[in-house]
Amino acid sequence: MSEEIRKADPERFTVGKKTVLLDRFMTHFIKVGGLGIIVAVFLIFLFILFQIVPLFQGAKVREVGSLDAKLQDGVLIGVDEWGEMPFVFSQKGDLEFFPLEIDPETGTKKIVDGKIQLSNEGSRIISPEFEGDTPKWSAYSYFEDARSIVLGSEDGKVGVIKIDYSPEFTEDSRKIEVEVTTEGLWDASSNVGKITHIDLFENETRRLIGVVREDESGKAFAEVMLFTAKRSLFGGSELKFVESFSIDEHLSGTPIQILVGGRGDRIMVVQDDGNISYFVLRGTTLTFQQNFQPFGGEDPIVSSEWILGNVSVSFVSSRGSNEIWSSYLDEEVGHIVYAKIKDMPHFSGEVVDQSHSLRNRAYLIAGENEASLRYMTTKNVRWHGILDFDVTSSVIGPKYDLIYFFDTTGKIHAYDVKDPHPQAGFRAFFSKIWYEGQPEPSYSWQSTGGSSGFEPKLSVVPLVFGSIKGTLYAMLFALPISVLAAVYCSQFLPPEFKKVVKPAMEIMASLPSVVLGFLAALWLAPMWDNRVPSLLCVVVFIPLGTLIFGLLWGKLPQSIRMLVRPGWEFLVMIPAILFFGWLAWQIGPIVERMFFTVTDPTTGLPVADFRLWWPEFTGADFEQRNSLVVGFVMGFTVIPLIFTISEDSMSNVPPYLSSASLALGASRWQTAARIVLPTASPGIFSATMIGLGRAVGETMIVVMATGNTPVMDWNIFNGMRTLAANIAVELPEAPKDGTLYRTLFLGAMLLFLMTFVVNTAAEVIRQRLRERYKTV
Amino acid sequence: MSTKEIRPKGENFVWFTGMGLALGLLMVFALLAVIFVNGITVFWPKEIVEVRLKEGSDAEIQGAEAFAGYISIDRHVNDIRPGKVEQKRELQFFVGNKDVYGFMYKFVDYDQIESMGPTPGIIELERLEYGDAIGYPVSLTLKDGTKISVGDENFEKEFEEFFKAAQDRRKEIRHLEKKVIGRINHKMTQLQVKKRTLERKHGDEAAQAMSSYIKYDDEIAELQVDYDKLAAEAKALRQEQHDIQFTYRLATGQEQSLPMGELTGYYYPDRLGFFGKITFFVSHLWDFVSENPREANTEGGIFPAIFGTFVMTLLMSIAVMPFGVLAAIYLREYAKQGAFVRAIRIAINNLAGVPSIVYGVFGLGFFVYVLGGTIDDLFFSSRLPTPTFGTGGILWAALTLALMTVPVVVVATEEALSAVPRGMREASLACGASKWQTIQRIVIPAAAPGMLTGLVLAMARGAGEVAPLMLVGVVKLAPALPIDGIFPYVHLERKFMHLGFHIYDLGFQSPDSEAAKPMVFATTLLLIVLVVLLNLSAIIIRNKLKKRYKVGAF
Repeated sequence: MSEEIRKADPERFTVGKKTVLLDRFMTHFIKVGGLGIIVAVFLIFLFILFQIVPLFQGAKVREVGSLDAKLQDGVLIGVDEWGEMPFVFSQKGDLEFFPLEIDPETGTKKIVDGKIQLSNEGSRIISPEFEGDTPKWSAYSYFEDARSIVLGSEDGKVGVIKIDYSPEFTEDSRKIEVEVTTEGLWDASSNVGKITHIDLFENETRRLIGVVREDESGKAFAEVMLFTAKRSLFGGSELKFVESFSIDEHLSGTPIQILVGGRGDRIMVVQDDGNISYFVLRGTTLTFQQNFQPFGGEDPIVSSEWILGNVSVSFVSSRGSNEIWSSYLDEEVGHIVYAKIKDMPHFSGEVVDQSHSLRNRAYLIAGENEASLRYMTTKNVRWHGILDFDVTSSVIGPKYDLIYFFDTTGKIHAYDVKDPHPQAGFRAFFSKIWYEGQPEPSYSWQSTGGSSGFEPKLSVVPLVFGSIKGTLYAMLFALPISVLAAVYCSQFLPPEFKKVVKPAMEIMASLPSVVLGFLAALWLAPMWDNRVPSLLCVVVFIPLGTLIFGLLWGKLPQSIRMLVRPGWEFLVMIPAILFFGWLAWQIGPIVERMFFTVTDPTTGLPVADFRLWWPEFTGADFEQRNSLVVGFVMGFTVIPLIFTISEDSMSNVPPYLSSASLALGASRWQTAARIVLPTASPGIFSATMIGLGRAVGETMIVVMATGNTPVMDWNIFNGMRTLAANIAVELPEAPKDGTLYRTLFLGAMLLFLMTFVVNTAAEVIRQRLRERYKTV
Repeated sequence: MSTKEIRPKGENFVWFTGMGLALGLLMVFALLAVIFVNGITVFWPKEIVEVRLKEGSDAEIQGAEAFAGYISIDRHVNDIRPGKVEQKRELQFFVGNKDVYGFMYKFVDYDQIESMGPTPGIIELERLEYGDAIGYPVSLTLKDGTKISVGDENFEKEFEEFFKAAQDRRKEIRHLEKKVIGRINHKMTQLQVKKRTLERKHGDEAAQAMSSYIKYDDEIAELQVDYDKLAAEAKALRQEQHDIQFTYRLATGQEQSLPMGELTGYYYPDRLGFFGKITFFVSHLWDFVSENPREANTEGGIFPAIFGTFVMTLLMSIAVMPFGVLAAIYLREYAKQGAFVRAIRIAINNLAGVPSIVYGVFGLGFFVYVLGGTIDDLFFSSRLPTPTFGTGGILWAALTLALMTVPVVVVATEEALSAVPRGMREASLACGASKWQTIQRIVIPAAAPGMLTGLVLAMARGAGEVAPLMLVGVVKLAPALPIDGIFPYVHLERKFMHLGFHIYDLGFQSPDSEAAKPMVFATTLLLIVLVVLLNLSAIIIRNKLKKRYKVGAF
């Protein structure tokens, strides 16, 4: 053997290159991948947030073009339903149309450098002619819904100009053709005088013209002209003058303006003392309904305008106050009355014109060099603009995508409106809103309606309320059972039972909610429907029976008590509960006969039925699919959660605490109640929170086992509509990126936040508890 | 001083808590029992009775005072007629013959019934339409007009033979229409799409002049010839199905006749012995799981729903497993343990508690509209505006559920990873293994059962979840399965049927929910069995795992 020290081969200690590379790669891969996945999961939150942000944004309005009109004395401006051919109406009675250039590629307005192509080169002046001499016009009004202009002359004549737009499709583009027709003239009434104000309502079957005229002495009169049409078989119909009504009774002041609207049956006369008289024209009878005073009668009304639907009216006073008045059916008075439903924000300029959108409840106030686009339902000012011109007339494009102004210098200004969600906003979702046709402000959810004039009601409050209601009823039932079971399972149950019992309870958590919902709705609800008294008995009998049974048992001599070994009590309880339950079920009908009898109104004979008794006694309704059923069935999803978590927290209470208690002579109940429960109470609390979180988000059970009506009362015998159920029911039908779509995303966000906050709080409490157990 | 027995304090409260546990257990087992009993009896043959009503009863059917059917509900309800405060007993009968009566179920007050008697020779007919018919056989009318009446000794044999022949013919028709003609149809649509692509690319006229375009046209014409031939064949077969008519008499007196081709099954309820009943049960159960649904899903089987659930859960598992495990390994093995990771852990835990519908909303907004819409724009623009991926489909459903179950997998995997004893890792590292080698060869194998638990739990949750699916692609009746014999075999964009949604749809969207009830209960039973089995296996794996580490920890 040589003395040479054998050096270890350094190769022995180097790791294979491949291994190192792989290790390095995997390290990076897992770090990036793992973190990436976690981030991606949290991006859900961001994505949903991103979807709901547009709901809270105002309108984006910018000027996209302007142009001098050839007509110098323009007074009115209007536009077609595509927003492609605005017109100006002059005091003389002429019309000038301005066709916009159309982009052949897109088939819509051509836009160059963000401006639409307005030019007066192609403009066309039309002078509509009436039979006989065209009189001198003194009053005019544009009714945008039907694109008609009504005119009143100095000598008391009335005429109507109808503007018909129709699209013409050529090879590669669409052109708008316009046709102007006139109707009239009619004499408003026999006593001729200058017409100072005129208003029009028109649909296929009815036309109403309201007129205020002044005679030579300066005395003002109000009158209404009614035209009706009978639809002929061939579809053609012509409006024929029927009758005119003069309005002089019930007025307190001199009429200055008149408004006609509704469905051609509502008439309002605005008087110089700030008073408004409201009449209804049914058939050919004019009935006075009500006098009311916007602004308390202290501030004269300078402008009034119907909002879409022709039911609500926006009034603006000389000081710039803006109020919305709308109608509802007053049960006491017996007819429809008007009430102030909104105080809108103040408008600082001197108002000259108002116009309303044909798409939604937005309207525009314009005056001097200011304009304000407002949304009635939410009281929102969508846009407020300082203009560099003074407005004469304004119109909102029929698609709510454009505004045209006509200014005092004879210029047209086009403004582009980007406001996809005018109905939305914080107030729409969370505050009490006085909707059209309702007697008082309310929280309501009604996202879709039949007619185009429908006012969507998007308050999420009833949905949140529904979620909470369902959750509370579920907790009311689930909490006692699960905590009692957890106490028993952790404190008294022998381990060999525990091994079976815990998984059995966990199986309950795995039951798909659609199965529970189905059973609730098609099996439980019909079964319970006529057995409510029995159920009441069950609720009373089982706990009371058990308590009495326990007390009596304690009085028995030890020899008998020894028959049931500690920890086996729950097995004895099973037949006991079955017995009590059965007993209660049988006694129910007897109880019903004794206490829940109503008298049949037609025969005077008694009927024993809780379903009839409940509405009669409480005034609340009774539905088969009610909160009771939902609460019970939701218990199935909540009980195992609360049970498992609180059982864990009680089992984990350090054993020396309970051992010490038992050693000092405390009974097992005393130990459980005074040592274990207080120590583990944060755990039980956190279990409750997690249970709450689960119940709030439960979807299928609620969808199936309630009527899904968004009511706001605590009545246990009717249903509710929860946030989650609402999403499941409405989202499949909601058009992408619409207001409803985004509002449902808002609902999802609320659910997410509610559960996330509750669960995080619960988790933090649990972690603290774990720390405490370490130190106790 | 007498020695008074000391009684432990608060024993009655112990009993009271015992009641809580007993109630909880009772609820679980009662629920399972209800589903089991209701679900299993759907396939069990019922005893049909002939009901005679008391004279002048208002429960008569079309003027007849007798009818035949089986009792489906027997209950006591409140009598809401004025003056009657007692409860009354009422029976619900399944009377069938919906084509004649207009209903299948009928409630009758018990006190209206004169007698209920046996029904010798009655036959229950399962039909393609209108559900079951119940009646007494009368005769068979052949194509040439000859009649074989029930008195003939070979009536039953002939009946059986004609029935079998009709069954075979129906199979042939189905094969022709679904498979052969379906394939031709598919080819034709593909050619049409190719034509349209050309038209889009080159303009109508230019495309029509191209040689490939003309070739497509020729191919279509060829296919059309085949198609017409097969269609005629199928039509002839269909015609034959109506050749033989079976006449039967209802218990209410009317005579009805039914083409043999409309019959899907029949049996004589009063002649079934015990084994006959077992055979009946098994064959109906088999039909239920293997057939397609009929009659707005209220008849037939639920095979497409089973298949859809299976494929969707499989896809979900494929998606969730790698991601969940990757995230868990990162959190447990690579991330620096501190406040940040603890916060992430809490947050992930909480994501498991976020309502499933929220994931559905995300799935619709992101997967379907954003991802699907982009894919359509890029690859399927020739089919627009009909969306391909830009609408709900099985892929998006699987991904949505995968997202929903990621937290479940992460939590379970993390638990399993942390349960691997530190000693094992240290031993591996001490032997010179790299970190990844340790994880790959020591930690992951040791934690595999735990990960499996996570996966099984995720599958159980995914299989039973309905709410998010309603938003991302489940339908009540899918025209085709997501996997079939037509290229590319797996159709990820297709809509699919799902057991859970089937329950919802049958119970709530079906026009006749009473008629659908047996099917719902059977479907429910199937779903529950599936979910409970999955959960039980997860629990068992978990318990085994615990034991293993008790021994393995050193």
